[in-house]
Amino acid sequence: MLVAVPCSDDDCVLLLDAADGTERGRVAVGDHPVHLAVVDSRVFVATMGDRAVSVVADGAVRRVETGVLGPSHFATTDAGDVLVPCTGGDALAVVDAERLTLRARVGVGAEPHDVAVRDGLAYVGSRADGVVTVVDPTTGTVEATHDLGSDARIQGVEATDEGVYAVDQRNARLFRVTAGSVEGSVPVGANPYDAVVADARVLVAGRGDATVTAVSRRRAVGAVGDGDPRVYDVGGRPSGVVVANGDAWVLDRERSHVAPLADPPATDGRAGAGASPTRRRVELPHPTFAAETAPDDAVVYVSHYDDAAVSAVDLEAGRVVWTAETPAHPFEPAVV
Amino acid sequence: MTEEGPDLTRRSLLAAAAGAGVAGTAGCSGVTTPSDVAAAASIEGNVGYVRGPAQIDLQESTFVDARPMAQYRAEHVYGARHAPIGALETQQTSGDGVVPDTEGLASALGSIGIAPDDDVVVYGSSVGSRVSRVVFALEYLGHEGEIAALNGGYDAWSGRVGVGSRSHASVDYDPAPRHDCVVSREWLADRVGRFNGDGPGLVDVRPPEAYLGARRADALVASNARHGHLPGAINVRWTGNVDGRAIAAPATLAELYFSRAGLRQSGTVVVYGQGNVDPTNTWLVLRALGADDVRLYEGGFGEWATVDADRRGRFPVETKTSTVIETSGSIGGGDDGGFSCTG
Repeated sequence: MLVAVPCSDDDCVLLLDAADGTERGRVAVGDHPVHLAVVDSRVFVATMGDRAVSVVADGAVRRVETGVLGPSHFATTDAGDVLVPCTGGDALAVVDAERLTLRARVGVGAEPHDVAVRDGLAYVGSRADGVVTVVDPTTGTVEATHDLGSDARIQGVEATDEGVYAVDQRNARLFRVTAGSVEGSVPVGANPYDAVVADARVLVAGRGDATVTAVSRRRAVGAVGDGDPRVYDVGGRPSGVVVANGDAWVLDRERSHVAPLADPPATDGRAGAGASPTRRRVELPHPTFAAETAPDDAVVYVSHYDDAAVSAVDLEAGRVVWTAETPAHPFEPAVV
Repeated sequence: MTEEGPDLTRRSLLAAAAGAGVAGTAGCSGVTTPSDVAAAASIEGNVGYVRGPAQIDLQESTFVDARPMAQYRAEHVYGARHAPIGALETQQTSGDGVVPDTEGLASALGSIGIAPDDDVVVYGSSVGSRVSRVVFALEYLGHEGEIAALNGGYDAWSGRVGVGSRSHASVDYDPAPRHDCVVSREWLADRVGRFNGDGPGLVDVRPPEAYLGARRADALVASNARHGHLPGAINVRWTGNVDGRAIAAPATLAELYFSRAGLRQSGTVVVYGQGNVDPTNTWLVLRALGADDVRLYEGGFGEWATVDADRRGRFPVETKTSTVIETSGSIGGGDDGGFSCTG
């Protein structure tokens, strides 16, 4: 098993042995790789500085032209398509993952950044137009355009059974939308980026006010319940949340540790992030930026974006398994 | 209508306006005379189209005044025809998108007595986009005579002048349109993703704020359904082609376009703006500098940005780039949204 790490300032994907972090290769993939998707052992690379995505397959790199600048995130469909928003423009590229060809390009809200698939439809968040565009990727048609506010800046979208959660970074709100409607929204911590699903909750890190907001998935978004949403004061600069074995852990861009998201005790609806009896904070060699959980949940691979390194962390054991140096600015790892 | 004033010259009018001493100051140190201005407008080197007054065959040339009618009436080159600029912008819709209205352009030129084999000198207040649109129209129609643009604009003219306006006998202008002067929306859509790479050059001549789609910037055109630019286009604002009333130094322009902007003289280059007037200035300059194959996107961003919503995937718009070559003016509208995945 390999850990693939897109290194955005070195235009390569670094391949590390998942067992011990030994470097197994570097693959030149194009300008500014940021995110990966693994589909049938093929590694799709979003090269944000290009008008194409790269695909590492069978030891070779192939390019699939999107025509529009800034491939950013990926989502896959049951039909075998890979979806990639082109965030330098206003298009969603639909790539045939088998033939490695551009199957369609669909106009969406300007500067689309993230995409999620629910019930066969793609939900694409716009950083410039404040909309979530709902696309049928099989037909290449726009099914709906949900306006979340003219100044909304939609960064992350996350699909769940009950709807798609969309994070408005500018106004610090979490929306839930379906194909037919905008169900509601709730405030979250300042400068949010992504939403992460953890069992019965959706978690949003507030990078600007050192919080993580947990929203119950059972209630309609915006409905206030007992302790819902719950705001955790986690300190530092939470860059995101990673889930392993059903537990949520907070990544920190400033402090060199990963900490469990603690449950109560709570005061005034707020909770502290202190150590729980079974989960302890794990000290790391550097602050963390992004993470990927291994398929067996045994370890998480965290990128130290500002320190050019990646670590494998055993959260249950509370230790770092290995740390490997990387080229500059490693983004979110993926397991191959 | 007022008849032309056969005894008036540019210099005499200036003298009348500014005092008797003006016309007599030629040669005085530190004083610029109309003759000096005319001489300074001459172009040296292998530059097409643009000519100073001293480089023009006055006997054989038909002058076309591209300035607004009020300026033309007040004073113009003796015998000049007034260009019907509005009629020279006319377009028609084809299956591939907007294209020039060949018959409309030919009719407009014929209406002011321009025949296909006339040697034509076009002038304006400067070597601006009104002038270049007339030159473009002539070239597009396959004009057989020589075509020149007067460098320095009307202020560089020191010869005989006329005032008022009069009609000129119309002629039938039989066009032989050069379709390779233009490209359509579909032609561009077929090449999305290749511009300024292994495909044609593509130059957006609008202000940087419009090119980047800067939110709330004054330069944004409200009628555009989307803002930004065609994918891969570089931005070189057309106003940088002109220095005062004259064309900018050709060496400077060559360095701008063929070095900094990375365009190739030997390849196809497409220019576009919001509409079909301003980009003709860059079209003219690139051709004047020896570029082989320069084409105008007649429909412009105004057409591209307003395609039907269900066709936008074929006609995408970008708002991010690292290739704004000429950046006069600030990027208005505040936050441009950034372009990264680190947030």
